[in-house]
Order: sequence, then structure tokens, then C-alpha cells
Amino acid sequence: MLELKDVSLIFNASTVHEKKALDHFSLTIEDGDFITIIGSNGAGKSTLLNAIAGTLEIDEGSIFMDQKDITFMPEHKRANFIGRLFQDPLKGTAPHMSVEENLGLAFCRGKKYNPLSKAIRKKDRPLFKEVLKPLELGLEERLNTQVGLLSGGQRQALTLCMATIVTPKLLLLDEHTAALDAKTSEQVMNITQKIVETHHITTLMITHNIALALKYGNKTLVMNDGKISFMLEGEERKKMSVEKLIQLYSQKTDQMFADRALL
Amino acid sequence: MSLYIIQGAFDLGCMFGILSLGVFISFKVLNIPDMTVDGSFTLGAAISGVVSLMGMPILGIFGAFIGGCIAGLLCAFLQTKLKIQPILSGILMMISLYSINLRILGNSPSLSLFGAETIFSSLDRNMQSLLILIILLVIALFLYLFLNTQLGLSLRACGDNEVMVRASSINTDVMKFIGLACANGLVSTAGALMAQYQVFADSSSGTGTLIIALASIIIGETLIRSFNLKIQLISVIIGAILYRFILTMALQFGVNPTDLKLLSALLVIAAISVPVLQEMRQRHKKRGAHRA
Ligand SMILES: Nc1ncnc2c1ncn2[C@@H]1O[C@H](COP(=O)(O)OP(=O)(O)O)[C@@H](O)[C@H]1O
Ligand SMILES: [Mg+2]
Repeated sequence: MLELKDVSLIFNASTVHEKKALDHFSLTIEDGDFITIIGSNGAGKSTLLNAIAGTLEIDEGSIFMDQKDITFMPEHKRANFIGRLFQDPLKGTAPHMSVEENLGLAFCRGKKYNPLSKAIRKKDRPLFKEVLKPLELGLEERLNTQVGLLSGGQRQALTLCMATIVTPKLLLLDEHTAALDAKTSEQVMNITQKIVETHHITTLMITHNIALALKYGNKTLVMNDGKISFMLEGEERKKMSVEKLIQLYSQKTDQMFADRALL
Repeated sequence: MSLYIIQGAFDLGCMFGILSLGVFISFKVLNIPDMTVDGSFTLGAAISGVVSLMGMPILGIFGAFIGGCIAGLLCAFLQTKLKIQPILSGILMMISLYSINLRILGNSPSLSLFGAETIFSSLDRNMQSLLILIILLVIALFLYLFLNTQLGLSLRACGDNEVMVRASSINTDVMKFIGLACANGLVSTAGALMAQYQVFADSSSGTGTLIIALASIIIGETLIRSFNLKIQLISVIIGAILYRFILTMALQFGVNPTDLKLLSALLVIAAISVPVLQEMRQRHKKRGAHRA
């Protein structure tokens, strides 16, 4: 469904700070894949998602979505079929608007509404409640609460609802539980799993937690220095343990995983 | 204070209200410090004055609104397409409008509408006040309805969290065009009403209007704090009327009219700094307690 062909992305080209964040990167993602992505700091994981989402324009190569070339499609157009979550729970929601208004905004994504029609219609409310209920955070009773007053975990869970209220073709998660405490993080991860499974959403998830990367999804992509170091799937992935993966990584890259990655 | 003066303050306060609603869109809803305001206010006064002299005062008001919208669009163009910083874009617009306004006024710094037909000229004094109030309320109502449409919601979100808005398939550039057009359209409308009300338009009538609007918004916010949009709009209007009363009172107490702008600036500084000072004091207290 998504194909990256020989994609390169260079920061500060032709200066001393030149950095090839993506180096002739090619990847084919199948429909329904849930790929977890790991790799040391600066490996280019976030850059990869930014390139797919259109936040950053790539310097070489091309990106295809369902055989359609989207290399030069602007970010807001790609957002019609791509849902996104960031590490920072503050990034995904509008703090001075209510839960309902945030959902209302997400709900009109990819639809051709009359821009002057009423944003929040009474008949949408049951649907809003329905998508909030599985979170088990009681948000369905707080539709009129200002989002800025919610906790980080609640905001991240809400962002997840917003990203998926109109089912996206592709969901991009960039360490979306990293800023949360352990318990909330697990909760949000469970919700993620539930939503992805229910709607069969093709997903790319960056994490710095190797155990999580192996536990969730059907493939694991290990990145290093803007390239794919190796990809795990099928039987090989099932048998993989955290220790073995770290060993494999240092063999392939002559590098040790940073401490952070072992957490 | 005589009833006559109170009524005058109320009228001006309502016109400040329209001005402040415009600035509310740019500064509060879109979160863009748009300095075009001083220029677009005068633009409205100039267009309204010239068209009134041709005998079409109502057209003058609508023309002023359109003129303001165009100024806003140009400002958004500078910001989004030419990537000029918002503050600088506004200042560039303000400066350019100064020359343009003078041209519209026929290269004279002021234009008297004495004897010309205005929207107020056939009304008695009370009806004049009523008309201004009605215009203000209609504008506020439309603004409220607009900000609750799909488009309006996107506009608000764009000022609240631009990163998120781009990730939810909304073109933030388009939002800035629409928002700044509306904002300056309203500011210009306020200028247009003011010119017909005061029976003259001059090239400096807009000077300091941005501060007036900010002061009004801040006064309103200080009195009524809410995240509910309806209440926010009401608080802007109340702030504007109250602010005009404060100015009128200051004048009654013998403050020199030329000092009013300084007074307005001080008021804005005070209102913004009070929370900061409070926080500083609290931190100081905490540290004191920590040491003890
Ligand atoms: N905006 C930027 N400007 C310059 N260099 C950047 C920028 N963003 C990322 N980089 C560099 O690109 C490389 C990849 O970054 P990133 O994709 O954020 O890594 P990570 O795998 O940790 O998410 C890093 O070396 C980083 O320093
Ligand atoms: Mg990253």
C-alpha cells in the first residue's frame, strides 16, 4: 500500500553540518502491516515518518500510496488518509478547545463538508461518546471539558481517537507513549492495539522499547544511520528476544545500542 | 458626567467593540500579532468618507469592509507565501496603507463630511446610538455563528495548535488568509462607522487603535475569564465599552487628550504584567519559605 523508493533526505545540504537522515531508503509496506521501528538516537526514525507524512520534503526518490505518486503532495492533503501521533501529548490536541470540538475537527477530516455548516451537530455526539468509551477514561462524560485541563495520558488517548475517528489508511506513531508514566503508557498502548485491530489500520510505530517493538505488530524494522539495518518478520521475529536482537544489532552495525534503547 | 457625555462614550465604546472583535480574531483566535490594524482602521475611515461624499454612505461601510478584507489578504500573503514574519508583515502593511489612505483621501490629511449624507444624518441622537449598538450586536452574532462552523472551528484550532491542524488535513495558510481578512474587515468597518459618526476622516485616525483594541480585550478578559467562545466575545464587547468609559472619565478629570494613548499603553502593560508580577511574588514567597 505504501512504497518508498530510494528515498534520501538531507539536512543542511552542502554545509559542514550536512546530515543524510535518510540514505537511499527503500521500503514496501503491505496492507494491514503493523511495523514497529527501533534504532538508536538519530537513526532517522522520526525523519522517516516526517517524510511519509509530508512534513519534510524528500530530496531524492519517490513515495507511492496505493500506486499513486504522493512525493509532492502537501502535508495537509496527505493528512486525509494518514493519522499521526507524536511523542509530545501537547502536540496532538488544541488545548483551548473542548473535547467535543477537538473530535469535531478530526471528524471532518477527509470529508467534503460545506465549510459553513455547523461544526458540532447534535447527531454526532453519540458517535463521539462511542469512540471515547473504549478508552475507559470517562472522557465520554466530559465532552465539554477544555482539553488543556486533561492529563498527558488522557490527551494522548484523545489524540489517538482523533487520528482514527475517520479510519486512516495509515497510522504513524512516533514514540507516542514515551512521555507518559509507565502505567498510563501501558494503557495507551493497549488502546492503540485495540483500535488498530478493530479497524485493521496499517501502522508504523516508533518505539525505544525493544520489548514493546517485539510484542506488538507483525514486523520490526531496525534502523541505523538513515538505512534499514534489518527487518524481522515471521518465525524469525517470533523467536527473537530482546537480548538476541541487541546482539544481532551490534553484529550488523558494529555498534552498541545506546542505554536508552534497553529500557 | 452629563448624560450627553455618557451617551457619546457608549457610542464610541460600541465602535471600539467592533474594532476589538476584529483584533480578537487575529490576536486571540489565530494567535497572530497583526499590526495591520492601525492602517486598516484608517483605510475604512477613508473609504467610508470618500464614498459618503459621493452620496452613498451605506455603500461606504460595505466598501470599507471589503477594503479591510483585501488588506488582511495581502498581509496573509506576506506571511504565508513570502514567509515574512507576522509582526514585520503587519508593519509593512501599516506603512503601505498610510500612503494608500492619503491617496484615497485625495492627498489631504483629512476629509470633512460636513453636510454630506451619512448613515447617521437622518436619525435623532438616540436612534444613532441604537443603530451603532445593533450593528455591533449583529456583527458579534455573525462572528459567533461563523466561529462555530467547520471553517470557524478550523480557524480556532489553527491558532491553538498549528502542528495538529496541519496533521488533520486543514490548510493552515488558507486559514490565515480567511482569518486576517475577517479581522481587518471588521477593523476597517469600525473605522468606517467612526468616520461617519464623527463627520470627518483623517489620515491619522487609526494611530493607536491596535492598543485600544488590545486594552479592551485584556480588560474584558480580566473581568470575565472563560474558555467558552460566547462568553469571550461578550467579554470583548464589555471590555471595549468599559475601556471607553475609563478614557472618557480620564478626560473629565482633566487628562490631556494627547496623553490618552500613553494611558492606553500603560493600561495594557499593567494588565499583562499583573499575572507575571503575581507569579514572581509567589515564587519569592516559596523561596522564602524554603530558606526558613
Ligand atoms: N530539522 C533538522 N535539522 C537538522 N538536522 C536534523 C533535523 N531533524 C533531524 N536532524 C538530524 O537527522 C538525524 C535523524 O534524526 P531523527 O529522524 O530525529 O532521529 P530519530 O531516529 O532519533 O528519530 C539526526 O542526526 C538529527 O540530528
Ligand atoms: Mg525521534
